[in-house]
Amino acid sequence: MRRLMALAVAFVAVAGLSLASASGLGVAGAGVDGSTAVTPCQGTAVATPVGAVDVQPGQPGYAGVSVALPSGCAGSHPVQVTLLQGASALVSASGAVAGTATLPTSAYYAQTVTDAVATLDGWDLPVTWSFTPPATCQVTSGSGSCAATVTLWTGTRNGGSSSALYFDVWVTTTSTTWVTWTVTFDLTHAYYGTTVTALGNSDLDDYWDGRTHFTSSGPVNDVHRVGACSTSLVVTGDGNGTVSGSNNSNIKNFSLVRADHARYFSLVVNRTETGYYDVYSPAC
Amino acid sequence: MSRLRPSRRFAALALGVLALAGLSAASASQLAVDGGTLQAGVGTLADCQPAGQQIVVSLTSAFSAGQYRSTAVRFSDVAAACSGLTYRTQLLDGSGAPIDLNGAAAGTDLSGVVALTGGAFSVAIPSTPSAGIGEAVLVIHS
Repeated sequence: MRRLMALAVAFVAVAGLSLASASGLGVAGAGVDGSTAVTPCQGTAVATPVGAVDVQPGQPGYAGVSVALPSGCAGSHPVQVTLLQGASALVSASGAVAGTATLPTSAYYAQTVTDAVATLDGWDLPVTWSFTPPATCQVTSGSGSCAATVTLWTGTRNGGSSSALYFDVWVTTTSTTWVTWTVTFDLTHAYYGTTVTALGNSDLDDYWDGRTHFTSSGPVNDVHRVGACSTSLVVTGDGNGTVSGSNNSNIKNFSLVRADHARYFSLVVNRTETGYYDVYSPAC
Repeated sequence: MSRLRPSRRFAALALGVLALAGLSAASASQLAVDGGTLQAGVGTLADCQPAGQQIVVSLTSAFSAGQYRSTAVRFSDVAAACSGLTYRTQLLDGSGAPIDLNGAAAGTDLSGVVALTGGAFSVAIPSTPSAGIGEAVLVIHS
């Protein structure tokens, strides 16, 4: 044992000499060369939003983040993750992760997340933020962009006779001129929480946008499918044929959207009664 | 969790030490002074750490100003025999360059007495971006 101690002391003495010159020579870590440790999980993790909730009524978001550790990362590890908007933290979460795990967060809007940072056992864990929105909006005529947000709502609508699941969709734009729009639904998105086999315009979702009252008996806020029947479902607003020639025909034309005229429509989900799958049918 | 493994620099240095000590590498291996090795199982950490008992290294990190920053390095699964001995530790960046943990003091490493609690001890370090830390180096000696 005395021999061991002597060896250790000799080692440190030499290491000390190395240390003295390390900074000047730029010899990495020469001062305390011994055993080294690096992060236990090399590679890049993936963070995705999970746990659909309404951040505010009618404003969908998420309340969790799924963290998938790099392949080959064995065992369970304490992980911290923070979702960023620019340099600011939107939400943070922490917990043990083995392979893939969901960590709860406070509610946040996934579309506002610009990046994510994380640690594993306190070591930096490179992480990729992965978010595919359940629905996107495209401007098809005119300049500018648009956005689509989808809220899930279950219940019995005014005038309805039974409970159903609805996709309540807002279409917005910052364009100050009218633009036409389409909304593309990723019907395979986990956000929807169900396998979508049918979608129909809800004729009971009367909607007052401040200027126009959309009802089944007047201007309607209906949409129709554009293109192929697919799980990547594209819809656009119906051009309203019941109102024409008026000064405000654009206002009543549901296929148009402007910054001061967001559009709202509601699709009833997976009802098989006739008339409730006019957008996406069970045969699709 | 991260476990200590011998560095190549250590290997080169250790050979020098062994040469000075008049010992051969073979005899060093027989001395079984190592511990905390992850892969090769031949690195020397401390004579107090049994071979095969790997020291786990983690960082204490918290989010601050757009990034995670580390304020301590924690060594766990340390053998009780190491308690009361002297440690020296150094953090390296991603390219292997030492991170100055000492501020104005000489050298870039930190040292102190191993004081174990539950087989672990922590060393406070200046707040350092976690992403800038690539390796932790430790040696324990009498």
